[in-house]
Amino acid sequence: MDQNAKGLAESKPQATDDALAQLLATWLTEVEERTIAVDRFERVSAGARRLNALFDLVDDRETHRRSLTLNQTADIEIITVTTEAQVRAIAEQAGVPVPHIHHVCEHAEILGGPFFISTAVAGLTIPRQVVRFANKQSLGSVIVHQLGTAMARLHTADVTLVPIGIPVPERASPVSESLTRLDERMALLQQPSPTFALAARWLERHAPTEPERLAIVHGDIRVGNIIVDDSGLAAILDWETCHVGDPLEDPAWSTVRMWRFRHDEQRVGGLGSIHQLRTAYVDSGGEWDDDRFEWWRLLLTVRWGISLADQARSHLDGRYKSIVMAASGRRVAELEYDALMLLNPTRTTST
Amino acid sequence: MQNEPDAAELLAIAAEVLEQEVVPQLTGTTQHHARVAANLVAIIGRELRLSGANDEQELLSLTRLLGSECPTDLTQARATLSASLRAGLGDDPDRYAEIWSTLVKVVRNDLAVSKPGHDQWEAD
Repeated sequence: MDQNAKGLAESKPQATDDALAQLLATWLTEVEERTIAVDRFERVSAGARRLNALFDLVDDRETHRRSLTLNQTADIEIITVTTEAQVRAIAEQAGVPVPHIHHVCEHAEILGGPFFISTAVAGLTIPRQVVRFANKQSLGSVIVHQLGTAMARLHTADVTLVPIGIPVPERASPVSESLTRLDERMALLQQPSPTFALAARWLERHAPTEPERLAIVHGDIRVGNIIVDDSGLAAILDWETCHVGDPLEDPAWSTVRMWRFRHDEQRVGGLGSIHQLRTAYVDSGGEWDDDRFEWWRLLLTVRWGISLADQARSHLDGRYKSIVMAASGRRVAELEYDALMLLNPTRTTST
Repeated sequence: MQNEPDAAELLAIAAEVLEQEVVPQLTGTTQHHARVAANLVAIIGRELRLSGANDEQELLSLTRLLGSECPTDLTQARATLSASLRAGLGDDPDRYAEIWSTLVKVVRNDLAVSKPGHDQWEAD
């Protein structure tokens, strides 16, 4: 799944928060067949693809903090809200911390796009705050351990339960298929990158054996997509990149340097070590292979670099005009550098 | 001819004002966008000073790797080198080491414009 498929559609004018809250209250009252009010509606983030907001769901007895995830239109969904809810239910069942989903609505006409409503989990999500908080509370290695456990639980869930609509590798060979996709995308780069070409050749020559067992892979587990509280990992968010693939993709992605937010020595999200992640993963039944793990680290680093170049392109060709997308074009060199460090001929694998 | 300050100096002070005076006054998405804008202004300032020499040096480095077949246009040179590398130009270990060092140098120069300091971390 392309990481960059997020955020590439044209931005649309959005309904005001008050209007959204009112529409939400009307809809909830109808589906729950009792009077429900929506209070303290507060937009958390609004990208090109998704709007996230928190609100109080108030009935005649109680108040619950809830979270609204609204896809701006149905045509840019990577997976549908129903599919996402199904896969999150599988994860929840497997013991992965996921905000519980209470309602799913595929009808775009209610709020302007498909949406779901889940429990609002309290805690921090902004990367710099997460890293600062974790280090101050000495929670870093705890969170890494919880991440390893959560990944293993997800990856040992029965892959045959995966809902229709979740991408599955065509020939059950995620390693070779990912490299093919990478080459296809690299061929479209406006500014060719010798570094990424060197990396692609390396990936081809050092391709590990395909995983014996495919798994449900989240695809974007990293600091920025987790909620952290006093006891560490409270929830894993953002399941739209979920797919069937090589389980080691998840641990590898969480160690990409861009997600360390300047705490480079702590290779897992600026929080802890690869050794800690691996120990927790294996202890919870995950199968680890150093070569495949390292292979994915490089592939995902290069792929993220290409995605950043694509973001700049989407700004330039008008698919999604945004200063953030434009600036992404100047971040490509960071990923080239990170890839080169992984390709260092004198490198010894470090954890 | 324009009076001083020159373009790079103007951009440097514009970036400083954005970063230190404007960004702290803002919140949320607007603050994020202003921070990105400040960063872009700083990048352009460094680009004006460095990119001419960087590009010349990059073309020289690529020509050393590709020999007489190296196109004189930098984008085309990068395309040619990329195709050769993908096809195995760096398969021999000695050649690989040479190519790797060259690319590290080129990318370090790019980072001097886009993100100074990113190359202080050399492990991984």
